[in-house]
Amino acid sequence: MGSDTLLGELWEFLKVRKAWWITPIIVMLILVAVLLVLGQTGGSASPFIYALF
Amino acid sequence: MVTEAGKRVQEFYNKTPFPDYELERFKTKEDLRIAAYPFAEILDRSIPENASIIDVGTGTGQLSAFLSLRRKCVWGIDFSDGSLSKARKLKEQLKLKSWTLKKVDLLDTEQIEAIGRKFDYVLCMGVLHHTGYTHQGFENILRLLKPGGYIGVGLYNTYGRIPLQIRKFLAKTIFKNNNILNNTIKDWFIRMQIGNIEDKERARGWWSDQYLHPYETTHSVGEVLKWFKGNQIDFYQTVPSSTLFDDTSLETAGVWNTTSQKYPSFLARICKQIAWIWQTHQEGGYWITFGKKKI
Repeated sequence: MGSDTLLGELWEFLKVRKAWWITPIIVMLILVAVLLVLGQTGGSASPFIYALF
Repeated sequence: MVTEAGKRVQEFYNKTPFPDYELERFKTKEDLRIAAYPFAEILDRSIPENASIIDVGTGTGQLSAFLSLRRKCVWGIDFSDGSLSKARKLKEQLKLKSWTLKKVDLLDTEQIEAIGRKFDYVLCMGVLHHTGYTHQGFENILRLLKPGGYIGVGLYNTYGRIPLQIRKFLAKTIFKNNNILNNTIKDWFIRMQIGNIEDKERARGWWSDQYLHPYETTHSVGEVLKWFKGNQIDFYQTVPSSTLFDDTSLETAGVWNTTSQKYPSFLARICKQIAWIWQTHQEGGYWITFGKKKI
């Protein structure tokens, strides 16, 4: 992983600073992002299904 | 069965009928048609003209009145005299002969049985989460459904309602006083949910229902799927969709549609309900599940 990419820089940062405790936070953030993207996929927005008049 | 929650809710709706409207808005049947939001029209188109319908917890009755415009048998039942009184005025004003209104407590099985007939379609939109016995209420309303009949149940979603609960907290704390700024913010909150606040009675009804309600519960998709399974109801779809990669158009497919929305998997339900926090926040995390009773 090249150190000129965002992930590369992050990897370098974790290695140099030995800040491995950040890893689970990053993994969780990525997981939530993936879930949100998947959840939003498809289906047209359906505004006002509760208020009908 | 008159529960403690039920009593409080009944008193609440007697004082603040819901969804409510200024009666002058609906001088003719055409006024009602014009006022219908797109989803009301989709519901109307999804139900055949010769079908019988009952709207459980009809409140002030706009939906059931609208559905009765082109049908011969539409019932609206509710346990609030305050809401039914407004509905009766609308019935009289528009001379809606095919619209029957009756006071019924959905938790009371004797009152449900006393209706004495079953329907092709049972709608229960935004009602069960105010009963205190949601599952029991669901099983009671199934008594009104014919074998092979269709059902639509609208509820607050546990995750989707989180933003409204935050807004509710803000309205009760930071913006509680009556001043121009706070009232503007409250108006914005309610406009977010109903589009416009020109009809003051409607705006007041919605504000009370969403921000001052004495009792509500929230529910997950998985919970409702269990109720469906346990009561021989085939799942059709939810609105908004709870299936991944579903691009069905409600306008063309209608709401009792099985063509593309698959039974939502556990993963799909998690993803979708997290997305609903944002997707449904304007409507307070409200979603509807549609199904069909097995023959």
